[in-house]
Amino acid sequence: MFPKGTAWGTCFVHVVLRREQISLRGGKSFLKCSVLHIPAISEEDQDQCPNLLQPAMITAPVVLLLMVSLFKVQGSRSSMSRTRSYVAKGFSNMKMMATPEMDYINLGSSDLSVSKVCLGTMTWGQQNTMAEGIEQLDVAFKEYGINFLDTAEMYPVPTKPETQGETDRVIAKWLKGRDRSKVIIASKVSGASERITWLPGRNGNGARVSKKDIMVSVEESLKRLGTDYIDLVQIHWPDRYVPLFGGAAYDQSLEREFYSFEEQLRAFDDLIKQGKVRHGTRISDIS
Amino acid sequence: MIVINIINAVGLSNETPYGVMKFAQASEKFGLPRMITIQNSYSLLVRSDFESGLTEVCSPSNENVGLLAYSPLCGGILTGFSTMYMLETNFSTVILSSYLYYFMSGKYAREDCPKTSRLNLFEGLMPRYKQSIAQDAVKEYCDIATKHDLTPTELALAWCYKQKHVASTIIGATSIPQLRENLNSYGKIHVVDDEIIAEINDVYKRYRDPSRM
Repeated sequence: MFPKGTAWGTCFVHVVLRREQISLRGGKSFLKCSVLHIPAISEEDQDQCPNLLQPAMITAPVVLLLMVSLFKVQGSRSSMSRTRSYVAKGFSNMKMMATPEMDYINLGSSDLSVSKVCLGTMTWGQQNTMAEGIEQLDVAFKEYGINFLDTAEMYPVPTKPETQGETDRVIAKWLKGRDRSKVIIASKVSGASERITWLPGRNGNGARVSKKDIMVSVEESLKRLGTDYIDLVQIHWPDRYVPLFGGAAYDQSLEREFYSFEEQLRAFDDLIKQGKVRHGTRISDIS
Repeated sequence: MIVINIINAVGLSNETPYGVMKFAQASEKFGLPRMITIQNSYSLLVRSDFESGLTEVCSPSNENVGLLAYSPLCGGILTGFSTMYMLETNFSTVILSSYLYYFMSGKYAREDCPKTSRLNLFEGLMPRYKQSIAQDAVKEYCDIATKHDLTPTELALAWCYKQKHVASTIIGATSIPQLRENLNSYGKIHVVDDEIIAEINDVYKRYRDPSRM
């Protein structure tokens, strides 16, 4: 449980209270801990005497108590009350803070009116379970007036063949029986990647942003999300070479062939027009 | 009448000024849909990429592309908890942190932040935030936050929410308390006044691009 032979294995054994002027509300005194190195108990010793406690297990609680008492004795007259107010403030922040009023903004020149805060989803299906994802959606949409969520075909991250699409399935479950018109869904077509070969409808090829890839990607996203439209489809990262995710500076030697800006836009144009056709058939069905 | 499209609108992500302009040109030339959004990384630590060229391109008076800011907390590093800085600034956190370190294994203790945070969960995903210059910048922003009675999270998010060129900020959380803090920070946009913005910009002058490797 405890590291062997490291400073942390020894834990805090030496605590000093130091008045330190830091640029914090005009300068206050703060508690400072220093760490003294004592070798941790070796594995051999522990084999011989399995009940032997690592120094850290003994000293840490003692030191904690010591810290509190030192703080009480040596702290300035208001230190404890300040501590209390810190704690109280933390609680009030958590429990009693009024829900802020949300603002909304139109995206670009469109009539999509979205909340200024958008709910990210990329942890659902990896770091978060389906139930947790749904709880997050409920809190954000019901309590805080959020109407905007952002997903992607490759989510959750890190993208893997076993989990790809899980995030969308969480959203699909939550969407069921809900007024779809009250939710603005943004999703993404993956950019170019030789590594990501498991996206549906790509026949095991790497991801690209060709017209065919865009059409397939959106169709598959619609299926997973269990909805008949997506409000905003984004190109997750460019088809052409660009330095990605905080990478190095632009390197001309990495430039490569890519699907033209026009081809990509034509695919989206078709998707928007297809929707209008679909809508047309609906109307005639009704009449 | 409800108009239902397969998709309503299109946008970009991780794009550069060149890409946004080329798409805008193609839309105009061929009468195709316009890109209405750009989802790029944008935060106190990653400002210069967007601000050096894209603010102008994306302005409503130019190409009118709304920024959807992602990673406004840089995978959690701007919450301040990952820097150990909180050890010095908040008494209750001293207790909490030492208690955590006491119970965690050596692997945990040697890390700079909780094992469950995205920074640590995905090896290599965001090593850029762990380098010391980024940590130094975080310390400075934490100082500003505490000075003005804000948590580092509130400062980082409220600043981002408030930026004129940010249409919407994408927040991500792995727990409900985190989610609530992110959402409650929207109530702090009025606290982040010109004075705080000036202090932030002062730090930014010294740390233009602290996450660049």
